[in-house]
Amino acid sequence: MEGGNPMRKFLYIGIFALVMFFSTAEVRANSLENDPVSSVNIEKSGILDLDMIKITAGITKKHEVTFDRYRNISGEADKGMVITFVVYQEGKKDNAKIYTQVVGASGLFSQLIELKEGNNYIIIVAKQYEQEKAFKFRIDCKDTTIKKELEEIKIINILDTAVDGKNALETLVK
Amino acid sequence: MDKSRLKTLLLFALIIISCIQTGELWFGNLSSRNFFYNLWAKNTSNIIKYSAEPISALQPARIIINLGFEGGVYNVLNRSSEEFKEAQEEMGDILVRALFEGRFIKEESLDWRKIFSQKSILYAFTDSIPLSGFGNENSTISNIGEFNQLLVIPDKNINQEINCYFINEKSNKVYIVAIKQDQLNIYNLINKISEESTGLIYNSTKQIMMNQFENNVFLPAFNEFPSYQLIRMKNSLKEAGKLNEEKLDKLVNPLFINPSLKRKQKISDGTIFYIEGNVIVKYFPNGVLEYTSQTSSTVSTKTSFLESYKIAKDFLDEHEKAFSNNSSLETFLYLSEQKETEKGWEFYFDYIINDMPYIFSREIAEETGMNHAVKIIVENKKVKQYKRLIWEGYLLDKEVDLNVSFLEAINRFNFLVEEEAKIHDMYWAYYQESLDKDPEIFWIIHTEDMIFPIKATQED
Repeated sequence: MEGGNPMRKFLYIGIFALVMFFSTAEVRANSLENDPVSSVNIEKSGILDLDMIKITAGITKKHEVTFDRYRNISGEADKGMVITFVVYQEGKKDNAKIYTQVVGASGLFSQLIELKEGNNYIIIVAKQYEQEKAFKFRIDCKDTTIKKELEEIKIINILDTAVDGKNALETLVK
Repeated sequence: MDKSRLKTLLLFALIIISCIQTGELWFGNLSSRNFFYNLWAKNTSNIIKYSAEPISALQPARIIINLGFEGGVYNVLNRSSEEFKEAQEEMGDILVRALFEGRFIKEESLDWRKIFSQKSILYAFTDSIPLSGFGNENSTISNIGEFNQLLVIPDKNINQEINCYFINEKSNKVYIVAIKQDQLNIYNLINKISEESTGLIYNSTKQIMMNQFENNVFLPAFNEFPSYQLIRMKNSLKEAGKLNEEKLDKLVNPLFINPSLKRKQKISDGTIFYIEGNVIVKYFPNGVLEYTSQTSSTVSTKTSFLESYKIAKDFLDEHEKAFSNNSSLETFLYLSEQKETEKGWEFYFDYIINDMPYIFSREIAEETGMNHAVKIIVENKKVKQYKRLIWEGYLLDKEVDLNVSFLEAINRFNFLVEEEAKIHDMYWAYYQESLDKDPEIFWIIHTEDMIFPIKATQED
């Protein structure tokens, strides 16, 4: 039929719109009010560009798995910006630790975060004038005995393909 | 016994006695009055044998442990800690082995993030160490030329080849040398510190991309303010305002070959001169001791950095033995500056007291004529001048919270210099503004040619 069924065309557009809506809904559900983390690209230099702030070290992606006990989260922001770090463990939001700092003339910020075994959430709130954005990250801190076990595996399989510690950990926890 | 045999024995005894007495005359109490003295004195100063010794004498200003965490988490070892001593011993050995037995792999552009990606140990010197001209050069040494830091990434398996990274921050190059790891001491030390870390956590300015820093500097990060005990500096020879001349004698004597022959002269301002042979030692009432050797030589022999450093360090270590530490506060000296002159090298050392460097103001420098705690000039394979403060640090019954973060200090520095000046180094130090005040803890910021002290404590 020439031009096709207008009803079918309308249906196709509707399905496409629904698919687009649900694909972005998951991202929005995982974030706070406005979280651009999932859509940012990490530059080759390792900088996490979050528009209002740039994280140069300490966090590389939205969800990480690690054995680390500390993270130094550092970055760049405009002078005068108030940056608040809220750190809590899953199910223990009431015991959250809150650190606030105002970016000075150097345009730099840096915060030491202590990670505890389990799922750690870090919310970074950047505020300047009327603009405020929050970015949520999750770092799963694993028991260090797993790391030792992994290292033992490497010794046993020393003549086989070497197991990279970080990749093995990602595989183990998935 | 017949008469002639008795005469022979007597003659033999007389010959022995005359030999002993001549020896006494030449090398004993009247040493500097005889012809052979200068020859003998000259020979003794050339006794040092040069092999790998000058390299093993090098001492780092800092030893840093990379805990291998994402984003960079470091531990700077306290100078007085057992871990520092252990690391120094092991790294000194690795340094010598890498230079003399190592396999040179390649030269690369310096990428701090790349070389800091694993657990490692960094042996950092204040300035560059030029390796050339000390006579034992091989291809590894000539390829490296000079370096100011050595990074070692140990392996957990024995007899594996490990990489040593000789870093030259001036040229932004890294030279990779492989050696066989015959012990696991460094690996175990890093693991121990990583698992039981109780000290302060540090950032690396290169890893967090602080572009204002010319060099890679380690800065402390904390959520609770660290506390430090304050100190007082005192002239170790003064007791109740009076000079203890007996103690002064004990400090001066090791500087002479024949101390019992030294002549002493005191002038009205309190300065005391001691002279013996070609050596003059002056004691100034502000607590400065100055040794000058006036031996002149017609032939000028310029020595390499490493040889000169070894001569200076041996001299300093020998004189250190004369200091009896009254304060029970362990004090260390570290090489803080070096200068090449037309005739040789000048070395400057500073104190580390209570695990923190001790620095003083320009005002004190002008009053004492000293920019650093110790100055040693080496020319013609000899120490030409040695000048030092004979002050001692005492702990006070007062603690302060270091509540100014490195970022706050940098912000203040940027405000002072008005435009963004490049920072070469930054650290906490006991800083004394004037002789009538006790030292306080400051952030010390070094630019290319200036030092900016910024108070590390802020009252509410």
